[in-house]
Amino acid sequence: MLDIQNLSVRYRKNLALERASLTIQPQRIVGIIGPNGAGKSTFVKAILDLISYTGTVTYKNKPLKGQMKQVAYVPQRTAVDWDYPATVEDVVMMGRCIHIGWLRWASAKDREIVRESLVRVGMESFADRQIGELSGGQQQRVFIARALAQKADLLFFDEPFVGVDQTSETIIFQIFEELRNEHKTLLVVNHDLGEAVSHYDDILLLKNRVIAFGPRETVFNDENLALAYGGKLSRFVDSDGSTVVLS
Amino acid sequence: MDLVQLLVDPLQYGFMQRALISALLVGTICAITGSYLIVRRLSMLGDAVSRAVMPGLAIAFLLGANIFFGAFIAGVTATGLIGAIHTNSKIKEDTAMGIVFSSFFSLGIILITKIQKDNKIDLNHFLFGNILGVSESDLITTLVISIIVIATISLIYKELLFHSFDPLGAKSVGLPVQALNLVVMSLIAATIVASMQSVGVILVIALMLGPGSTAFLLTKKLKTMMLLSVAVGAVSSTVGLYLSYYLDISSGPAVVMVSTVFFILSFLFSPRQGLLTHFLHKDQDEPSVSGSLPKSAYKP
Repeated sequence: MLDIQNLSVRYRKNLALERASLTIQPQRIVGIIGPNGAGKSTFVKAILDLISYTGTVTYKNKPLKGQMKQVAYVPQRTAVDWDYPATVEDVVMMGRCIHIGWLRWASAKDREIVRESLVRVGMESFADRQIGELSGGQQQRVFIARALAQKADLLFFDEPFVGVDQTSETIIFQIFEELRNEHKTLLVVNHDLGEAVSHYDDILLLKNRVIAFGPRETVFNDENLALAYGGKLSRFVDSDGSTVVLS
Repeated sequence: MDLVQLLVDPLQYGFMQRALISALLVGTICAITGSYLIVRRLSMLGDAVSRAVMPGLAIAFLLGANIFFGAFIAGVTATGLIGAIHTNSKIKEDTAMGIVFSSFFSLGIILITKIQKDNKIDLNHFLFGNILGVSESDLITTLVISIIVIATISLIYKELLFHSFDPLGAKSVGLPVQALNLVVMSLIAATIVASMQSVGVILVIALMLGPGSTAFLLTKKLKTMMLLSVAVGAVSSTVGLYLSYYLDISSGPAVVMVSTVFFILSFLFSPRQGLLTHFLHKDQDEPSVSGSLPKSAYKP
């Protein structure tokens, strides 16, 4: 399990995240939800030690910092330069980098893992494409293949559905569920409150502090959403019974 | 005089042989480290570091130390200062670069002008390069730096690739990104130092960016970009050297102009993104209308 205690992040004078404490159980898909500027990406980046923070983060009772091999992180698509001279295969191979180790080259086994990962996201026929030649959804699937190639137990996704087509979104959620069933833990930052929410086991509602955390059924209610979004939300129940939320 | 003679004749002189080897080495390492500058969008930092080496060079000369070592220290110091200014104030990185490199450059010019009165050194040679004056010890320094640069990049290529493509992702798996940054900056400083003699500090940035950008437009993998860039860099350096010899012009500008020609060709005719390729293809893709001129009529 991933244990987070008193996690705070400051950007100059502003408190982006205030004393977040929660324990995430293994084998869960956790949706991290909240309005713009609520500190969702900040929360993930602090856990991964990508920005400076105060507080403690432990995984299986040891500091996460020393166990980065267990972690895969998929950054926001906008954080990446898609003109970079790298092919799909190159990007997925980056997931093997830390496993291959310093001063060593990729082995046949690494190449096999890369191929398997690409097959799993349905991108094997694009292996030689330059990454900028793909659609948004395909790019996201390549990054997910990279996370798969890392064979990590703890996976973080920052807004994986922005600019992604319906086919890719379906494939991605399918992979999320498969990963969860393989005993992995997933944390997914998502500003979308629509149908996507139903795919999460747990919901973490953030607004610069933890508004609520727990199983979706108990946390995702009007009261908590009003706390996070300040009452600027309307909820509808669709004709097919699913909940639609507009912010 | 035929072409072979034109190429071989100058090589009977020792200084020309040294110049040719130096040109090839410099063309190679500038192309490799320049490729990192391009993909990491650090071109301006490369430019800043290239000017900032000047005072280090002068101070080393005054102290009787190795001038290449002095220049290297100054380059790395400048990079550190740029970082210190922009992380500790609201001044942005581009402004910090401008301040640091112009101050270092000015200090360098003041020191070198003072020194050159009493010694046999020439400010212009550092600024614009004097490849025909490469000594044997200069050549050895360039060779050693080249070996270090090429070996380092070959050994940590996959880490540098990950880090330069996705710094956050690289950090998240525990790669030492600060150390990798320092390695890249050191390699860039070392490349600049090795290139001073042949292209000069003002134009070295052009030799780092020209071949790399030419290759960037033609390739889809960093490795092939670097290899093609090395080819363009080596050819540019060699052709520039001969132009410099026969036309009696500065070697630096000659090399840079040749590499610019390659860039223009790549920009216009790159198969995937060339400016003219697009028009040519559009022309071919259009179904020919009956009665119109046959396509071959358009061709020159």
